[in-house]
Amino acid sequence: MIQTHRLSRTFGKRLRRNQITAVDSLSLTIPQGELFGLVGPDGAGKTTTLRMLAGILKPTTGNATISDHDIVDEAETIKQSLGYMPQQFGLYQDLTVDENLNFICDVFNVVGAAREHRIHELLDFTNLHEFRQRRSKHLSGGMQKKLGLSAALVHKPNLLLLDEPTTGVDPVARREFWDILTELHASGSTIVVSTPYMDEAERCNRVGLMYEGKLMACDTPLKLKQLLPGVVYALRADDLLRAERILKTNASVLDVQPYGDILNIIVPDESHHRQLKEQLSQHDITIHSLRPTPPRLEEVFIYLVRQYRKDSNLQQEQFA
Amino acid sequence: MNQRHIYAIAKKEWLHIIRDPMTIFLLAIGPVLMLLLISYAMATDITDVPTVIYDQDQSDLSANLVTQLDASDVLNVTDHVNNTTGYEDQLEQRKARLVVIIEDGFSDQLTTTQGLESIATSAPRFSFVIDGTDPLSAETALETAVNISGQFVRNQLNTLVEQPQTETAMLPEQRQRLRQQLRAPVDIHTTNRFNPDLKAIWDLVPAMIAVALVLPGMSISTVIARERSQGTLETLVATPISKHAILMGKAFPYVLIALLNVVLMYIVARAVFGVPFRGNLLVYFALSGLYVLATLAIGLLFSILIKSIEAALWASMMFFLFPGMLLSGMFFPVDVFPFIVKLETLELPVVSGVLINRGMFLQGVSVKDLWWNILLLLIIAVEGFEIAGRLFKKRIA
Repeated sequence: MIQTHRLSRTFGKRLRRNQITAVDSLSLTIPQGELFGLVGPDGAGKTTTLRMLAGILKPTTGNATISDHDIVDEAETIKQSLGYMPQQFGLYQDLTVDENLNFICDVFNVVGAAREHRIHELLDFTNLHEFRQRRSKHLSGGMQKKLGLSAALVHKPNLLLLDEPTTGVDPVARREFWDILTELHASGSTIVVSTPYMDEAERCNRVGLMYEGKLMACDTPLKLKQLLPGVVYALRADDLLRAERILKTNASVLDVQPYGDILNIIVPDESHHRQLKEQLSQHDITIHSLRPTPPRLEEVFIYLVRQYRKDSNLQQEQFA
Repeated sequence: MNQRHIYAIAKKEWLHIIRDPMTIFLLAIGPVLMLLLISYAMATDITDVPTVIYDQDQSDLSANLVTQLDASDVLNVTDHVNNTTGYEDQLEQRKARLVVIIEDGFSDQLTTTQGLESIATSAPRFSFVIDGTDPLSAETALETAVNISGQFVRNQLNTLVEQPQTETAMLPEQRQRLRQQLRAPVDIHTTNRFNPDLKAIWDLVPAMIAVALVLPGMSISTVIARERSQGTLETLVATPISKHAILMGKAFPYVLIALLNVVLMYIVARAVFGVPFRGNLLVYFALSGLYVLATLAIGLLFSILIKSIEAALWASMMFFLFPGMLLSGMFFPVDVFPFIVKLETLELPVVSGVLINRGMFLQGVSVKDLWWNILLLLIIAVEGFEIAGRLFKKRIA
């Protein structure tokens, strides 16, 4: 469905210091029918990637195709069967829900009885029936996101590109939104969704981890977790800050990640359990519990980012 | 291009316009309001210019002259002074715009036979001092004062020359010579075509109609920037709607509103200001339509070139409003501008708009007389939309 080949986009003038590479040599294949998650922190290049795929931003170098159509030369063909939902609310604030949906129907040539039916269906789907006559600026953030999604779905697109559809939405609305996405996916749509939330990434078929414009890893959540070269221990103790400092001096500890009142410690294998306990006791740290825990994408992602930073620092030192 | 798309964009653009109080005000009431306010303000003919008299002669005759000056609509004698510093102060304090100095010996020269004899060598003398900081009213006042005093002197001389022999010591040959001197060398008749009473408002209102019609042009110059700043452009350009449909759809409501304004302002000009209309009404509305298209084309081009709402508004103000007032020919004829400024006015549709409006209202000119301006407007309209269509990209950066 989607194929990108060394897709890059820079902003700012070339040969200037302030030039930013938002997306750096992104090569990616997304098959038909997949729910693909693009995950990464702010500024990782998720939005830029989606904009290029939507045909509204020209790549600096590299190329990409959607259903074998080039995203630059055949952008208008692609737009016929594409549903794109920008990160910011992209519909008209001064128009009502109904007016906005009718406008989008006009744009996609959804007319007559088909339009009535489709709008009804979408309002059912998103529970927006009672807000039809409300101007969209008076909708809550979650309702705006749902309206945005409805607008992207009007023409039953083959491919949905959703840019952080749940950012700024309350947890209940977020859950509802993902239920809608799962339903859409089950009905055969190909969906690419970007998100900064790792728990959302877990619900995708495959996940691409982006950082500083680069795709650091791309696989199913299960396989991504196997990238972690070891096991995770969750530590509860009286002085986590000191424990973190101490453990970082331990050569066999791969990474230490604080998470609330827990310290996630990554070590190569279970044989290190004893050693961890002993080291902490030596420094008078009272351990409440130290148990192995299944890794989540969050730990994997942080581990990969730290490795990446270490490597690039090393490279810079070598050049210097 | 898909007609449904143009209609869809036009419909939503219409909703934006009527739901934004600022825009609807600027578009619906703005031009007519501008026409009413500015026409009333600017078209006041000059009257009651404060005038100070320095009468060195102090005679019945000079008092008589002062009464005649005061009787004019243009002048209003506010004070009498008897030295130079007196009127200098008044000028500085802006209590006087014009000072009339009647020099000593004025009445002697115009009432006695010796005086009359001396006229051949030295005429009676007046001096006028005007406030140069306000040339428009000062010069009008000066012209009036010069005319009145000149006429006054001629009348006085005529009475003297024609008075019965019993009341004067004048010799017949003396009388004959003076008669000849008094005969005017040229007989002047003036006819004011198109505007017989030289009413400023007749001249101003048609020009003002053209200037007020720049408001829709200014307003449309923010349409793309507005979509950009609200984030809706991103959705719009990601749909398969063609860029030409977007631009045409956006222009459509503005064209309608501008045409509505043409009709409204025509009615105001005729009914409120009583300006005559001597052209062909159908031709006038057709040419106004062309003029409206030219201004909107430039406004639309601005909206594509300039990325932020504020910058677009400022740029269109600099392009439409100021040149509209100053360079359009409304107050100063375009012919007197230096070459380089004249060249600049070629790209200002308002110059042609002013000419068309004045010509149609006052002179009743035909299409043939306006061909150059019609051609200019056509080029601006066609090229404006064409370039706008080429520069507008369905991308966000």
